Amino acid sequence: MSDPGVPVEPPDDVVEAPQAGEPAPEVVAAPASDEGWVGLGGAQSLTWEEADFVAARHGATIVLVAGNQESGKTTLLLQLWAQFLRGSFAGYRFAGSETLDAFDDRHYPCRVDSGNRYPLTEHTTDTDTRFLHLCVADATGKRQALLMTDLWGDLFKDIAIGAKVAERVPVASKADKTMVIIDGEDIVDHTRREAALRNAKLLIGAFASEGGLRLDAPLMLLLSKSDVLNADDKDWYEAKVTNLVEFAEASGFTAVEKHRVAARPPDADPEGLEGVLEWMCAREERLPVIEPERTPRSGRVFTTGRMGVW
Amino acid sequence: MSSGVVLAGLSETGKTSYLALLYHAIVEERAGGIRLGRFDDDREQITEISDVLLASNVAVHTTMDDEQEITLSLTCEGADFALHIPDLSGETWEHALVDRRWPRALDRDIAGATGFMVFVHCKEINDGLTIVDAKQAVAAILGEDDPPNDEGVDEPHEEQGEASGAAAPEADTGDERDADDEEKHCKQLTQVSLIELIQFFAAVSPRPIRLSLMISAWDLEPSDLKPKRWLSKNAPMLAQFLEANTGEVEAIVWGVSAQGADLSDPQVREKYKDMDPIERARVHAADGTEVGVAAPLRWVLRLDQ
Repeated sequence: MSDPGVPVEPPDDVVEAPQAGEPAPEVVAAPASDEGWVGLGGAQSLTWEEADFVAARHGATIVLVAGNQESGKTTLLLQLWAQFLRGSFAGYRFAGSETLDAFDDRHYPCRVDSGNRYPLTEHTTDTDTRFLHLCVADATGKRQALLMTDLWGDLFKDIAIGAKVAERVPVASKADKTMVIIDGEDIVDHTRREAALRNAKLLIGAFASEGGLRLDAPLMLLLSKSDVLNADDKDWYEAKVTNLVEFAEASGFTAVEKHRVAARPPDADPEGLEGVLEWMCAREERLPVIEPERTPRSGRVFTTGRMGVW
Repeated sequence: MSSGVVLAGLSETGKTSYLALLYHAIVEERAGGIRLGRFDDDREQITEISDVLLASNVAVHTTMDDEQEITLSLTCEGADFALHIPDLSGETWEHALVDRRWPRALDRDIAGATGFMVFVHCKEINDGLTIVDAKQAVAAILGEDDPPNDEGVDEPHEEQGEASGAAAPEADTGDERDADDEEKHCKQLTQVSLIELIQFFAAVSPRPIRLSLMISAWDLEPSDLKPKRWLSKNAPMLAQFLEANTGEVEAIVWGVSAQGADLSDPQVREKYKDMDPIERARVHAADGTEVGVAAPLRWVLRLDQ
């Protein structure tokens, strides 16, 4: 038997394959067997094609989470998931996830046993389209699956300065809902806040252009890290975001909302997450559509609802 | 008829102890009507682990080195069946959670299993205390309005990055896996590990699964605590998951003390050593009702229907 912990080459008949667009995961020794292995998945966010597999079989709401690097996109998704670690949340129960270990791994730097002095969230560095999957059930037992994008923030920065949406974020046109995140830390910095809102406006404008979002897909303008704003900052922001909402509506979006969230205040409980989850889970009549780019089959097992091996 | 039962759980969560108890109860015909059907099965391993229990010793930890399939020919209420237990080693399941793969042979066993028994030690729970929760708890104890902070150090807010300027340790980057199995396993929350295993079982099984969730070392919990309450208190995400997936996972939670007491304590062992092992053991249903030692097995094998 191989020594556990020592990297070894997998046997020839291992059915796992590296995900497209990222390095092959390190293979660690496992019990020797002549019969090979079955990959189980779940440690990484989903590729576009894997997300398609999930959505096609059981339906899912595709939520595009847009915002600059460090604006709090990943923290928001993590904290939504983490609320269920303590119990039901916003009237929903946790019902499963195809990316459970990916959530847990990203949540680890927020925990005492990480040795960190302050909660941290790792940057998303993948440049290809990735999704986190969260399935919840309401009080009646009705299930709702969310496929939430976990995208590199610089993709949105590029769009704000003129790159085409379809080139940087090709999933945009398939999104059922979109959140544009405005970083609260930018709002409290008087040297950055005007630029932050200008960039949000440019992003919304690009999203409304050809190759962008579906205009009938709900759009939320979400202020992150709202706990850092003082009363004056909030007044200033409120006036400005109202203009942004009007701009989005004038651009053709038919369902625009604004909301604020403090997903992980340093010393307090989160605020505003319930509203985000409720907005994500609100039923839409349209069926989700994802048309993936072809990527190699991974052989992994999908867990939600006995979907078998892909 | 063959009935496969998968005993799963991380290392040292009581799988071997329970199996030893169950085997002894079956041989003694005190297992709720389940009896040995034949006497020519290969029972070397299960007899050895049962001997440990009968000697009032702490059960031997099963490793992958001595991992072995166990098959017992049984009979119950006129029906003969073979009980097939593919694996006892906790490391097998830890590998599944860390490497994200399991042997194809085990995959076949899981696909064909009649039932599942998933073990968790009642006191060995990684509940993932967050840094914010810890600060709030300290503040509450100290009676402070504001939680303690490190003077002069900027607190990074939200995502870690070059711009944060914080003197904080490096976080993992991207989707890269940890090379260290042990570290990786220790990081995962216990309830997340259990949900993962159950999700995997449900994914591989061609039909809804029947599962006994076995909370072991139940003698360490207060006598008035109900297993169902323990679950909602100590593993609330798992409790939600089971409630939300009743169509896929039919589950009952049990409190189990196969040894009846902490036999690693010499004084306790001396007190209990002459006691009948089956009398000494305790199995409680979800509502706290004490039941026979084979009740969790009968449930997953649908022998109560």
